[in-house]
Amino acid sequence: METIICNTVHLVLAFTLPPLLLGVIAKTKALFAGRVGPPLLQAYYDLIKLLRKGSVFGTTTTWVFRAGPVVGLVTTSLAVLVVPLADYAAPISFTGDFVLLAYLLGLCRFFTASAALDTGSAF
Amino acid sequence: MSEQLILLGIIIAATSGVPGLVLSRYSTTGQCVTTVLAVIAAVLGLSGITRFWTSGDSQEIVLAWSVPGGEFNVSMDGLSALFLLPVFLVSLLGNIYGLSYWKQTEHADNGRQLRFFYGLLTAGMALLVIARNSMLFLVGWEVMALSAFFLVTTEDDQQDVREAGWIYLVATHVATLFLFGLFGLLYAVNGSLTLAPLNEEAVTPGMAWAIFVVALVGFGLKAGIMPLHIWLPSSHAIAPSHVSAIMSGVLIKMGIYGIVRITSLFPHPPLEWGGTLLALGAVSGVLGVAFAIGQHDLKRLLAYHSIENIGIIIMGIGLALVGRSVGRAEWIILGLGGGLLHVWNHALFKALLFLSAGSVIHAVHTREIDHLGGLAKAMPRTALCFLVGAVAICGLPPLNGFVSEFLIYLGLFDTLGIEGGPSCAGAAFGAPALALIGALAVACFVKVFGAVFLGTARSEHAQHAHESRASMIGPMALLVICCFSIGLASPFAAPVLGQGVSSWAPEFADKGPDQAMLAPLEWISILGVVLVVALVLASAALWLRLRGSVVQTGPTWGCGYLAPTPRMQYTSSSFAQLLVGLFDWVLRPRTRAPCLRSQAYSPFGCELTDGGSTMPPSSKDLGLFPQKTDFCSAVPDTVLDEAVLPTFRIGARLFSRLRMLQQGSIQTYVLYIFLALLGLLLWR
Repeated sequence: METIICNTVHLVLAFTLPPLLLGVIAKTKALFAGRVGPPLLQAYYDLIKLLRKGSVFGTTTTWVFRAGPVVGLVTTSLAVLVVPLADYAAPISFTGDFVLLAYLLGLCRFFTASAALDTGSAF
Repeated sequence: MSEQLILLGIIIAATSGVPGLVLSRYSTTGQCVTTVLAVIAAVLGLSGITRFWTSGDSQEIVLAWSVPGGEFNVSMDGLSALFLLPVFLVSLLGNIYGLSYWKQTEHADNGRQLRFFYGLLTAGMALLVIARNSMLFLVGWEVMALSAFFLVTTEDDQQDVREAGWIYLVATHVATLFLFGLFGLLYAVNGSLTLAPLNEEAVTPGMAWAIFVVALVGFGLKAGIMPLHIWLPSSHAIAPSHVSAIMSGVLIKMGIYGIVRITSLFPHPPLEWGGTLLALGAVSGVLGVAFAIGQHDLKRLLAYHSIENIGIIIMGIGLALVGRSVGRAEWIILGLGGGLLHVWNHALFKALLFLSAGSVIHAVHTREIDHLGGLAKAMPRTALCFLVGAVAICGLPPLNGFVSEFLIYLGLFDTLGIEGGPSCAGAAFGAPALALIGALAVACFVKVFGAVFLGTARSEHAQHAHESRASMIGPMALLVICCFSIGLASPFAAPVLGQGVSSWAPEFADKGPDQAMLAPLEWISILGVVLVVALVLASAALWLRLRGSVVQTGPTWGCGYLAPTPRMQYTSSSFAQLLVGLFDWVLRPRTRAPCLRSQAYSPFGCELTDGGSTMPPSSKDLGLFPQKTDFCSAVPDTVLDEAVLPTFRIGARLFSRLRMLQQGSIQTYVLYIFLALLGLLLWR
C-alpha cells in the first residue's frame, strides 16, 4: 500500500513540478541581477498558451523534426521511473538502472539535435 | 551432424562464384546462380548452428591430411557457433544486396571476380572458426585474408584503391607472420598443432607472455585495435559497400575470435593480461570515435567506428580475463557475454550502416558527407534504416547496442567489489571510458545523420537522388528487424551466450547464464517494449493533435533572412569543430584557411592548425576587400602518416643497399645459385 501511494506521489510530482524549477531559476537569477523577474509560474502560463496555438513547420523539415519532441517527452517520462524520490525507492529499480537512465537521456539528446539539424539552418 | 551441415555450407559458399566465372559477363544469369548458391550455403550453415544450439551435441570430424603437422580437424563449440552466425548471415545479405548494387551488367569487368571472392571469403572465415588444428586454421585465415585483398581492390583501375589494397596486403601479411610465430610457440609447448588447452606445467610465465603478445599483435592487426588499425580506414572506405559490410561486420571479428580462442587455452591467465586488454580497448574505443568525428568521408567515418566497437569488445574480453585470473564468474559472464553479444550486434548494425551508406553512394555517387544533405526526402527507407543503425551503434535503448554495452557496464561496476569478494577497482576505470565513447558516438552519428539525410541538398547530385531497389532495401530491413529483436528480446540470447562463455572458461561452466546477467536483461526488454509502445502512442497523439489544429509551413526562420541557402546549414566539419579541437593533440587536423593578416583576431580556422601541420594557405592576404577564397580541413590517420610510413621509408632506405645484389643480369644470378650450392656443399 505504501509503495503504491509513494509511486503515485512520485509520478504526480515528476509530471507537474519541473516547470516550477524553471521559474525558481529565473527568479533567482533576477534576484541576483537586481530585477523583479517573471512570475514564479511563468513556465506554466507559457505551456498553457503554447498548447492553444497552431504549429508552423519549416519546408525543409521531415518526420525527424516532428519526432524530436515526441522522443524527448517519452524518454524523459520513462527516465523518471528509474529515479528514486527522496528516501523511497524508484518505481522501477534493478541493477544498473542508472545506466539506462543516462542512455535514455542520450536517446532524447540524439533526437533533439537531429531535429535541430533537420531545419536546415544554423540558426 | 551440425559439423557436416556447416562443412557442406562452406563448400557450397566457396564454389558459389565459380559458375559465374564461366557464364557471360554481360548477363545477370551468373549473379543469380551465385545468389541461389549463397542462399543454400547460408541455410545449411544456419541450420547447422541451430542444430548445435538445440541439441548441444558436437562430433569432432578428424580426417588425415598430408601437410606436416596438419590434420583436418573441425568441431563445433559455443564460441564457434557464436562467431559462425554473423559469417553466414551477413554474407547472405551482402550477396542479395549485391544483385542490384554491383549488377553484373553495370560492372562487367569485375562483377564476376567480386562474387567469386565473396564466396571464398565466407568459406575461409567459416572454416577458420570451426578449425581445431593450427594448420587448418591458417588455411582458412589465408583464404580469408587474400580474398579480402581481391575484394578491396575490386576497382583496381583507381589509384587510391591500389594504395589502400597495398596497405591492407602488407598489414595482413605481417599479421600472418605473427600467427606463424604464435602456432610455433604453441607447438613448442603442446607438442602438437591441435588447438587444445595447454599443459599448465609446460608453460613458463615467459612463454605464456610470449604467446599472449604474439597473439595480440597478430590478431590485433586483423581486428584493428588502435595502434594496429592502419589498414582499416582506407580499405573499408574504397571497397564496394557490401564488401565493407562483411569486412567491418565479420572479417575483423575473426581477429577477436583468435584472441578469445587463444586466451581460452590458459586456465590461469596473469592479471596483467586482462588489464592490458582493458587499457587497449579503452584507448581503441575513445580514439577510434575521436578520429571518426573528424572524418567527412561517409565510409571512412564508419570504418573508424569499427575500431571504436572493437575497443568495446576488447574491454569486455579484458574484463573476463581479469575475472578468470581472480576467479570471479560474474565478471567472466558479464564481460565475455557482453563482448560476444557486441560481436553480433556490431556485425548487425555496422552491416546495416554500410549497406545504407552504399545505398546513398549508389544514388548520389559520392562519399563526401559535405556534398550530401536532405536525402531523407528522396530516400525515406534508406534514411530510416540508417537512423536505426545509428541509434543502435550509439548504444542507445531500445536497440541491440545498448544491451551489450549494458552488460559490460554491469561487469565493470562489479569490479569495485562486494564485501568479502576480491575487487579490482582499477578495472572500473573502464566504465567512464565506455561512457565517453557512447557520448562521442552520439555526437558523431547526429553529425552524419544530420549532414547526409536532413536539411537541404548541398550539391546537384544530392538533389536528384532516388530510392534504391527492393533487393537493396530488403537486406537492410532484415538487419533492422534483427537489431530490434536483440534489443527487445535479449533474455533469449542469454543461453547461447552462456554456451559461448562456458566453452571459453569450462571451469565456470556449471554457472550457466548467471542471474546477474538475466535479471536486468528482463527489465531492459520490458522497458524497451514500453519505450517502443509509448513512442508509437505519443506519435499517434501528435498526429491526431496536428490534424485538429492549424498547421502552417514556411521557410525556416533565419533571423529575418527569408531565403536560406544550403550553405547556412551546419556542415560535418563545422558541427565537429569543437570536438576535433578537443582531441587535436592526437587527431592533428590539417586545415587550409585564409589568414586575415589585417586583423589581429581570426574568427575561425586558424586556431585549429595549432595541433597539426598546416597546409599552405590558399591566399596570402585578403587585402581590403574580400576576395574569392576557400577553406578545407581534414583529419588524416596519425598513426599511419606519422609513425608507420616514416618507419617504412627509413627501412626502404636501409634495404636499398641490398639493391647492389639485384642487377638484372642473368650471369650474376647464375653465379649466386652456384655460390649458394657451393656454400651448402661445404656446410654439409
